[in-house]
Parts: sequence; structure tokens; C-alpha cells
Amino acid sequence: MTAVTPATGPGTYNDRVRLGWITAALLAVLTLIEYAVAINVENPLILLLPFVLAKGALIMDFFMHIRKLKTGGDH
Amino acid sequence: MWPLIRGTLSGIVGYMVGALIATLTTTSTFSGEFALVLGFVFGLLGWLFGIGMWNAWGREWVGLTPKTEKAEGWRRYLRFNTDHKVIGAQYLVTMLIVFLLAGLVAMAMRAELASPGQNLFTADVYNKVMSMHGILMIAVAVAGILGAFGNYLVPLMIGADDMAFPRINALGYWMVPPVAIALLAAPLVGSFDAGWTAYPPLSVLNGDGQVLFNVAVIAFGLSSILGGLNIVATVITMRAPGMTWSKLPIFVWAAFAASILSLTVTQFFAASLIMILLDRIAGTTWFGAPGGGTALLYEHVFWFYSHPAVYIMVLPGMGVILEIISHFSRKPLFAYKAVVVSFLSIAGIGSVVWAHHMFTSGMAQNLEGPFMALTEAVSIPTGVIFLAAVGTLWRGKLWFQTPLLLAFFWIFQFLIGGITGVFLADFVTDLSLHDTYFVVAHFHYTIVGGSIFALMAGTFYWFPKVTGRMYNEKLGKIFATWFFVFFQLTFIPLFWVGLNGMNRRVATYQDNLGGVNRFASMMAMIMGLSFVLFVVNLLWSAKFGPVAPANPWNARTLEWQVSSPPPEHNFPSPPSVDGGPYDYGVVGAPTHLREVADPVG
Amino acid sequence: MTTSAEPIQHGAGPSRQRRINQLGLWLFFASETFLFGAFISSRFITSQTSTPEDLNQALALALTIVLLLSSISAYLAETANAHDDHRGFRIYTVATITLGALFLGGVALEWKEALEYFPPGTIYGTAFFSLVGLHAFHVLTGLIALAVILFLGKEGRFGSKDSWPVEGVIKYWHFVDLAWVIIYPTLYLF
Ligand code: HEM
Ligand SMILES: [Cu+2]
Repeated sequence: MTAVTPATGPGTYNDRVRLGWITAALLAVLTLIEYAVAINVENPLILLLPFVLAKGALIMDFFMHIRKLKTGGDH
Repeated sequence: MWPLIRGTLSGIVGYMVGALIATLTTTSTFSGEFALVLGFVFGLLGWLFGIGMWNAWGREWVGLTPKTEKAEGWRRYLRFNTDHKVIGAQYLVTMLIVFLLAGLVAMAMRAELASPGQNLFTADVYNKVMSMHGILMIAVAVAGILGAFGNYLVPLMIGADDMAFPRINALGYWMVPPVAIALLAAPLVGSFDAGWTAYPPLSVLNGDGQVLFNVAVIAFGLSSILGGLNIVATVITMRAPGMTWSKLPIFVWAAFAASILSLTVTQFFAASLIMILLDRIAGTTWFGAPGGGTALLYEHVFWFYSHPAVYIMVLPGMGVILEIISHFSRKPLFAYKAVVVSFLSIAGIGSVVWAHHMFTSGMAQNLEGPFMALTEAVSIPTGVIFLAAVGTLWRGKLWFQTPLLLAFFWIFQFLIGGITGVFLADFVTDLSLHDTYFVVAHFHYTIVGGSIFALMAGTFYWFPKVTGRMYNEKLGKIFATWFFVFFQLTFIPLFWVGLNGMNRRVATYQDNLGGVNRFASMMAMIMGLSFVLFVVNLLWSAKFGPVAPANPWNARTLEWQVSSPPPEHNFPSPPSVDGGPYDYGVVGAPTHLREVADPVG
Repeated sequence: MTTSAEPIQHGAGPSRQRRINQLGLWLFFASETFLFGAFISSRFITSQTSTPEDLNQALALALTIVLLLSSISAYLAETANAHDDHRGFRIYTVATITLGALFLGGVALEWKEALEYFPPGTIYGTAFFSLVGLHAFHVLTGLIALAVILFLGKEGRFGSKDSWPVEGVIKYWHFVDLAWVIIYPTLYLF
């Protein structure tokens, strides 16, 4: 076997799985806080934007592997 | 012929299935609006799968091996073929046919407008005819150069063997015929009379034909998005070794900039038309004032696409013209880098000027100034294009063949189009010019002058490459001059009647403008006749013209370094690139193509 | 996006094709972003950030969580496939499809209520049904694509040697989730 990292990213299978769960947990926490803020604050638009950005960034980076766009995914 | 028949049959079946589903699940009748929508969607899918998408592609999705159906000669063009050269030729022929058709419709309009009263049509029919002319011509301008030359030439010019996504490319082309059929069939269900812009509230309230217009144009938009995606991906990933960004032929840059636009903003046209469909069929109230909606929203969403769309039309035209000017004046392209920056900034700034179409719409008044300023800012990069064209011609060794002649005409016309645009972009003058024939004349100078003349120029320029035969030079020049002269005689009077208050999109007008309009109508008919020459020249030459050498223009770019027409995968062996594409007369400049494994000549 | 001046070398290796596919998919996402963007900005133009009293916030939060769960299961399916864990790939793909279907069921439930309280003929209902509908349509297409790769991959056809079809579909699934990350506050929270 040559040491080619799978397209999803470096690290062992277990590492990758753990990373996925951590990301999901972060997303869940962010969503719940987002919800709590929205329910309790009048006109929360400005307050919510950071949550949207953070969640979007997490998904694009860890789930969609946007960084792979540069390298093509392998090597 | 078999794939066409198969596609037609499965398209009809698809239509029936879609319409039936709509009839059974909703209150829509079999020819009702929802049935038209679902019928079109299923019919389109049926047609696409029937014509060959199933064999070439769909089989993969269910675990079968895809089948390619080989064919020779003209039959190659009548099937799902992934060769970018075939697709380019398919686009060229299709778009020229649609262009001639829409031109005939325009002749009918000029016949009506030849005298002030109502004569040929009722007011209502006139509006339907006018809408048909508008949308067909817009389609030609959007997909003519980009579809035909973008597909045919981008891979050749960058030294690739095909596009990045050949099957998506074929898919994009084969979506076009159903679009044309749906638009032309709209009169069967009441036609559409809201113009190519389809403003609500009229487009929410008029006949069922509007529904066909909407679904057809959405499908056309999807085709144009897929085409844009393909060109962008191709230019980024498929360039031959040595073909750096700064050695790309200028047409490739132009197609790239236009493709970025069609990839992105086209979705706004789709969105605006979907909103109309939702308002008509699903009972939403985007544009219905009683429910709290506003028709002004439509104008914003629509023009967010449709202003940038004018650059989708004209950027490739600029590319074609600069290409021709450099090759025919035997000089390096003047200010190459500045032109590239200009293309990109036209695309960029052009995306934030849309509200200059809305100065009289009742939009927020404090937006008028900024939109005026931004619009006029686009003139700066546009001016750079002119400078590059003139700077290249300056002291060149001009070789006056038909393409260069058309390029000269292009410069003149696009200049007039651009200058009159400034008066329209100034909101003070636009208050009285809006919706008059001044606007009509302006956009004919920009679109016919900027896009269609470039389409013609490119057709002549690359005709030997595509067909392997030379066109008739004398007939070509007569056609070009004829078209040009009568184009001026038709449209310059229209500036004048516009200034005198003649409204566009109305069958009748003030009595005192009758004489000038009759003149314009006559000139328009003569202009239309010039196309007999064009068609005869091309058809005759494609069959009987003298055999063309590989490089009749002695040009440096890659497409001319392979045989005419090029072999199946373009290059006998993978090419690599050395010198710049336009280093004509530069002492010691290496050739553009570094190595020719199998020289042709 | 490649920024290097030298283009990618010729020679059709699988890695070159993968780069091309990846770029194409991201370009498609860019295009889709404009479609969603048109509807999202139209919501703000017609009805600003207003929301009706009768919005079922609990259901919307539940839908959001379901979609998030489907995201992690999609991620796990992709990772399993990349490490040649074919069983894991099948299990997690089935889980993703189930969660996606659950999401669509939830939307149907939500629409039933919404038709009563804020039908399409109201200005909020207009934005609500259009945006949720547009998104649900994307979920539906994602489910079809997932079903296709599940069916094709049933004999371990993909794995690390031919992982692109799986990655592509899963990326699309994440993109649909990403759209919801913006639509959710747009319609319910702001
Ligand atoms: C310097 C360049 C340009 C400027 C400043 C300009 C400005 C304008 C303005 C302000 C209008 C709106 C007029 C009105 O409805 O009252 C207009 C209309 C139009 N322009 Fe231009 N324009 C320019 C170039 C172009 C180009 C290059 C094209 C196409 C290739 C084009 C195509 C159109 C079209 C199609 C319309 C009419 C749309 C409609 O109402 O149906 N323009 N132009
Ligand atoms: Cu404009």
C-alpha cells in the first residue's frame, strides 16, 4: 500500500470519524444557542449573523472539504 | 435520424405523463397552466433521455455501461454527440435559424409600424408578435457566440481535446430545441404579450402562453448556466502546458468573463420567472399588491440578471472582434493585459448597475445617483476595449477580408450604442427617453452592432476551419456592406422618432411620425433581404467552395495549426505552447504552438 | 480554484479528472447560491424579517436538528467509503436517506399547519412556501442521488479506488444543509 491519504482528509479512519462528530457537536451547540438568542432577543438579526457564518464555515471546511479544491483531493 | 425520432416520441410521452399527473393531482385541466408546466418538465426530460442522454449517461446511474452511438457525416449532428466541435456547429446553425426566424417576425412588426394607425395587426396581436421577436433575439444574442464559438473554439484555442464536461455540454445544447418549440408553440395556448421582460402584473394576469414562456426561458437559462460552467471549468483546468493565463487568446478571456456571468446571475432570471409561476399557479403573492407583494421586486430580480446579460451578449463579441483585428492587421494585440482587466471589470461593475433600467419605476430616489454613477463607470473599461481595437489597427498592415470589414462596422456601431447609453444612464434625461424608440435604437446598436455583427464576423472568420472550405469573399463583402448601410438607415431614424416621443411596444403612434417610420420600415426590409446573400453564400460555399488550407489567414492561434476541419480529438498529439498568440512581426518571437507532432498545411 | 500560472499537466489521470469534477461541482454550488440568494433577498425586500405568531418554532428546530444529523451520517458514509468500509457506507447512507425522508415528512406536517395560519396568499406565506419548497425540492433531488449511489455501491463498487461519485453526492447533500443554515434563521429567527 502506498501512503495515499484518502480524499476526505489525512489521519486514520477513527481520527476522521471523531473529527466528524466533533464538527456535528459544534454545529448542534451553535444551533441551540442561536435558537435561544433568537427566542429571547428582539430583532436578533445582527446577533445571529455570526452563528450563520460560523456554521457555514464549519460545514464548508469539515464536511465539504473546500480546501481540497486547491490540491485536488489526493496526495 | 433515429435518435431524433426517439427523442421526439419520448418527449411527447413525457409531456402527456406530466400533464396527466397535473390533471389528476390538482384542479388543473389537461391544457391548464400547471399541466403546461409539468408537461414541459417531463417532456423535456423525455426528449433528453430519448435523444441519447439515457444511452450516453443515464445507463451509468442504474449500473449499466453507457453506450455511445457512433455516426458519420451529417448524422453526427443529429444526435447526442459530446464532441465540442459538433456542439459548436449545432449551436451555430440553430442560432442562425432562430435569428432568421426572429428577423422575419421583425419584418412583420415594421410592416405594422410603417404607418401610424392600426393596419396589419390588432394592438393585442402586435404585442404578442413583438414579445416573440424580443425573446427569440435575446436568446440568439445570449447563446449565439458563446454557444457556437465558445464551444467550438475554447478547447481548440487552449490546446485541449474537449471541454471539461463533454456530456453536460451536449445536454446543454439539446435543451435548446424544446425551448424554441415551446416558445413557438405558445400561440396555441394564448401567446405571451408581456415583452421579453415579462413584467408583472401583466405577466401574472395574461394568457396561458406566458406559462410556456416562463418554463421555456427557465430551461434556456439552465442550458446557459451549464454552458458557462463548462467554459469556466475548461479554461481553468484544461489548458495545454505552457498556455499560461497571460497567453490565452483574447477570445478565450472574453468567453471566460461572460461565462462567469452566465454561470451566476442567470439564476436571478430563473428566480423571477419562478416567482411569476408561483403567483399564477400556487397562489403566492410576490407581485400582487393586494396580498402585500410588489411588482417592483420583479424589476430588481429580473434586471439583476438582465443587465449583466447584455455583457454576456457583448463580451464574447468583443473577444471575436479583437481576435480578428489582431490577425488581420498583422500586429500584436494592443494593451492585452488592460483588455483582460477590462473584461473582468466590465463583468464585475456590470453586475451592480441594474437599476438604471428602473429610473421611472418608482424605486427609492436616493438610489438613482449611485446607479447612474456606477453605470457610467462601466464606460471606462469599455473605452479601453475601443482603444485596444484602434491601437491594434493603428499602422497595421490591414488585410481587408470580410471579417475585418465587419470588425470595422462593429467599432462604429458599438460606439454609437455606448454613447447613447450614457444619455439613458443619466436619470434626468432618461425620464423622457425611457420606453421610447430611443431605447430601442440604443439596444439595437449595442446588441446587433455589438453581438450580431461579431457573430457574423466570426462566422466568416472561422468558416474555413469549421467546414474545410472557403466562403465567397466578394459576396461576403457585399453582404457585410449591405447589412451595415441599411442597418444605419433603419435605426438612426429610430433615435429621432424616440426623441420625438414615440413609445416602444405599442402598435400605433403619433401621426406626424409616419413619414420617418415608413422610411425606417422600408430600410428594414432591404436590410432583411441582405440575409439572402448571407445564407446563399454560406450554404453554397460549404458544399462547393474551394477547399480551405489549414491556416488560410496565416494566424498564430492554435485552432489554425490543425487541419480544417480539425481531427476528432483536435490535436494529433498533446500540444504545448511557447510564444504569445499575437506576436505578429515581433522579431525572434517563438511560435505560439511549440511542437507540431504532425505538421499540416 | 487553481491560482498557479502553470496549467495542470496533460494526461488523463484519475486525479486530474477528480480535480475537474470537484471544480465543476463547486461552480455549480456557486450558481445555486445565486438562486437561493434571489429568493432569500426577495424575502427581506417584501416582508423584511417579520414572522407570524403561529410559526411552529419547535417543529422548525426539530427539522434543523434532523438535517444536521443527516449531515453527520452523510459524512460518516463518505468517510467509511473512503476507507473501504463498505458495510459502514451502506449503513450510514441508509441512515442519511431515512433522516432526509424524515425531514421531508416534517415539512409536509409543517405545511399542513401553515396552510391554515399563513397561506401562500399572505406575504410571509409567500416567502415561506417558496423558500421551504425550493429547499425541499433540493432535498428530494439529494435523496434520489443518495439512493442511486446506495444502489450502485451495494457490491462495494466505490471504495477508495473510485470514491468520487460518493463524495460528489455527499457534498451536494452538505450543500443542501448549508442552504438550510441560512434559510432557517431567514424564515424563523431573524
Ligand atoms: C456604455 C454602455 C451602456 C450604457 C451606459 C447603457 C445604458 C442603458 C440604459 C440606462 C438603459 C435603460 C433605458 C431605459 O429603459 O430607459 C439601457 C437599455 C438597454 N440597453 Fe444599454 N447601455 C450600455 C450598453 C449596452 C450594451 C453593451 C448592451 C447590449 C449588448 C445594452 C443593451 C440594452 C438593452 C437590451 C436595453 C433595453 C432593455 C429593455 O428595456 O428592454 N446596453 N441601456
Ligand atoms: Cu442595463
